[in-house]
Amino acid sequence: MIDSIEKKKGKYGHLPWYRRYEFLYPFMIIYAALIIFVMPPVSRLNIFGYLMLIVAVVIYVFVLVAVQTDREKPNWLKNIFAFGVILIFGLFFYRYSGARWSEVGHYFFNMDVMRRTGFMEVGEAATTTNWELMFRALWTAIEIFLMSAVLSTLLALLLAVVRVIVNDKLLNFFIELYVDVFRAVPSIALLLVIYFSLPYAGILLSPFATGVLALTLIEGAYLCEVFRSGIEAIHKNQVESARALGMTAWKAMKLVVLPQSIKIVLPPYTNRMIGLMKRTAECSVIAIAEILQTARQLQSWYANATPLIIGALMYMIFLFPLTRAATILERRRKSA
Amino acid sequence: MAQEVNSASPIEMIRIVDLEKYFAKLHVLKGITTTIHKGQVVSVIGPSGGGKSTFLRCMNRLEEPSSGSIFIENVDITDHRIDINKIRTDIGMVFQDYNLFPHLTAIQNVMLAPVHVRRVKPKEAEEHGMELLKRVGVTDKAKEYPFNLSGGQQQRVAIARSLAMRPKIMFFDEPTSALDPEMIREVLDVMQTLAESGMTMVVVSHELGFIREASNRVMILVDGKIIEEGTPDEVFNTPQNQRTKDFLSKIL
Amino acid sequence: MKYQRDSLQSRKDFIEQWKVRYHHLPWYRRYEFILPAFIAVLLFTILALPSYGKPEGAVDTLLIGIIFFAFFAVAILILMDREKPVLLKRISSITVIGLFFWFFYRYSGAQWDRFRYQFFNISMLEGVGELYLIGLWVTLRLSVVSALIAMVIGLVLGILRSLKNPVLEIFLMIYIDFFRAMPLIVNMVIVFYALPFLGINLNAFWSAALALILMNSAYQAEIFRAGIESIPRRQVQAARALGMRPMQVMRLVVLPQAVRVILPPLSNNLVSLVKDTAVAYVITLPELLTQARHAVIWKRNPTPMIVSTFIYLATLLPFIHFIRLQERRSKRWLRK
Ligand SMILES: Nc1ncnc2c1ncn2[C@@H]1O[C@H](COP(=O)(O)OP(=O)(O)O)[C@@H](O)[C@H]1O
Ligand SMILES: [Mg+2]
Repeated sequence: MIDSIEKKKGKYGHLPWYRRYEFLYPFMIIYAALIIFVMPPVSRLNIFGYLMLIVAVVIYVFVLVAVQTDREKPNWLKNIFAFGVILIFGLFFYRYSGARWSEVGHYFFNMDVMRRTGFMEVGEAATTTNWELMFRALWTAIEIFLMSAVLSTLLALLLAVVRVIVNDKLLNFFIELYVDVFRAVPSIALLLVIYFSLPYAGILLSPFATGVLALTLIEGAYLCEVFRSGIEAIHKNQVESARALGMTAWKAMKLVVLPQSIKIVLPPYTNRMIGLMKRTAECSVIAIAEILQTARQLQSWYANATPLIIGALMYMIFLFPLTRAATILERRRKSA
Repeated sequence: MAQEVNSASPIEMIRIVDLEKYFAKLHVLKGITTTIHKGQVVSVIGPSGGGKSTFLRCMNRLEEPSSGSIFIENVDITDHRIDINKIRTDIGMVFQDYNLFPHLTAIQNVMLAPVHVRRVKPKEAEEHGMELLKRVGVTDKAKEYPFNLSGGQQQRVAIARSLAMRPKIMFFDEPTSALDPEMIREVLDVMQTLAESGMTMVVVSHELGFIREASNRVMILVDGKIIEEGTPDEVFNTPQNQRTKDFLSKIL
Repeated sequence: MKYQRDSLQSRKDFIEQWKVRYHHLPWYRRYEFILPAFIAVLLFTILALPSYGKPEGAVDTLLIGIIFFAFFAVAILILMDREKPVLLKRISSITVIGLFFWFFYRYSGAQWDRFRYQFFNISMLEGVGELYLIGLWVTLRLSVVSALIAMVIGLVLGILRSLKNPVLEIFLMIYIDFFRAMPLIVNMVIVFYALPFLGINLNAFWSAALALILMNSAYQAEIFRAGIESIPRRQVQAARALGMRPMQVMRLVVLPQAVRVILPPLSNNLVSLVKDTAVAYVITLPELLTQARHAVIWKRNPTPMIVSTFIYLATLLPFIHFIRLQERRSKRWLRK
């Protein structure tokens, strides 16, 4: 018995106190006991209470990092500590966010609201269900997205090619000016200026055209940078060696330059496109009946948040897989 | 040939008793016992994966030994009450891939540890650093960042960086195996001068010329065990162990 | 051979020389084509285009488009040709830029005589100063508060991600991808308009801050993770072998290197964050844009809106420019 204790001591003696089992096991038990039994059940806390929560989380994170960085700890222990984080966050949110959980179903996932017809009780809307309205809104969002995606890509390609290949000082100056300005202006500000201010000077655009124009201008600026780095990354040697092999300029482009550029450009391009789809939601400020605008109208009409949640889910269904794909693309490029 | 150690009263620098190392279930060092005296230059050779790097890294506890004891100047460094950072300042270590700090110039690389660990005044540290850079022959690159140096130059700066702590022992872990042939020479020359100055050195290397000329002991480490050791002549010319013969036939 | 002074002979010679000098060029790069084309398009522009005012009908619009692109194409041919003289290149690039603005001036349909009065009417700013100050203060406070909290959370998440625990990895991936996929504006609207249904009432400021924090901490987690992982373990070991203590290693070796990797994308993210505070317009937070909109309604003149856009430009443009310089420098530094 004493022998085995001695052996253990020898084995773990070199560890600092926070990495020893003599600390970790009691810590786990006392921590769990504290937050389950001593902390108040579902309620609101005062400022001091919330501070305590933060302190509790910070302590846990420190121990978690200590355990995870220890190469000698077994994986099951590391995984238990990792699960612990989620449990703690879940518990804290459940108990102390102040939400009335019994009403989530009624206010957030009320399919009855979505099935109803007669929103605003006028015209065509009187006979369409709210589901249909939301899907129409989705289609509008996709329309804006597609239009501005195509236009901004063309614009950016043109500008990037002029910037890198033509490389004329004067043209470059204006292109850079355009790029910087539209990277510095909030998209909502641009939408508001085009839609509400330009008419004062006689330029009148429909909401849809405004949305497409604003998003195209902004996205064009960002994409110009993306394409530029893609074109610049191809070294001149590559082109020249391709030409030396007897390829025409076009063939060198098709066989050597483009495949390499696409690999570089694709991850940031995908990210920008995701961003563009997200930004279509901002067109709601100029009263385009896209997802957010429609959802908000329904929400205030029925005094129920379900349409908003459905709207958010619509974005999620589109964008979550895309975001994942973009991350993977980026990883793959970096490891290559 | 490096100077022979005075065999009458050799001073013990490193004594290793029954050193074992596991990586989880992988048994890498299987009981190593040996003694290294002051001024000795010990070459460690052996097939890759045999545990040479692990052996070196256990000796300054970059890896925790699983069992056994390591005495450096009669202090047991596996005892966790000692301050390992103190011990490490006495042991210089040179890595295969130089590991210079890329955000610092050559001279800053050399000065960093003396200033922050030994608390030497920056001015003194710089003087000493320049002297060392002169010794390894890269004075003209003192203000350059590592990415502007060749591999050989980087490795020589790395040696100077270790020497700046005025160590009593130097470990070299395959210092030339990432280098182009024409740069190997310049690094080996620096190491040879160092050996001749009486530094205690443990060198993992397969540069036979260097081993024959500079070292006075060769250890053959296969599968976590020292299967043979002796002077270069003994080991290379009259190997006793069959596995030594097999290994030597591959590299000679 | 003796030089011939006979004019006829010299003319022949000149043409011969010309031919020899330029005959290797394809037809579209020869002066015989380029110069007449240049002049023809220019003349056509001046003579054949409809006069001042908004183009009526598709034909006019198409005509303008075609002419501009024809001109653009000719100019590009000149600019891309290494053998053309600099003077000619300058002329063509100036003409392209000039033409662009000229077309915009003529055919955008704007009433330029009212332009100054409507958009740059300083007298309309009278009494608006206080509105702006409040707006600026709110925008600044929102930016700083959300940036600080987001950075703390992002750093923690980034550290947790770099631990490579499979359980943590899954949870963090869900959090990060979720908030990168969710449009900020939707998130903000849900926090402000939907959560009260459950009894969670946050004021406009904290709703905006929460949405900004959730999204930006997700983006920053990735940035910090990349920074942490960019430093190889060998660097830490080399420093440890020199006898440095863990905190010294962190301060002297790890952080200075990580900062160089993290800073450019992080400052890009922070610029986006400042820009995104404008989204709080939709939840009626009195930030800069909202205040400008109030001023526009009050003064019945869009000048305040234009000015607010310029405020964004003036604050963010220098940052964007600075970041670009930094990016170039750190790229050079990272080259190994
Ligand atoms: N940090 C580590 N974790 C797990 N296994 C390791 C680690 N470092 C080395 N090893 C394993 O230990 C063995 C010996 O490695 P090493 O000492 O690097 O050999 P050598 O330097 O002689 O080539 C190898 O099989 C290697 O895979
Ligand atoms: Mg090795």
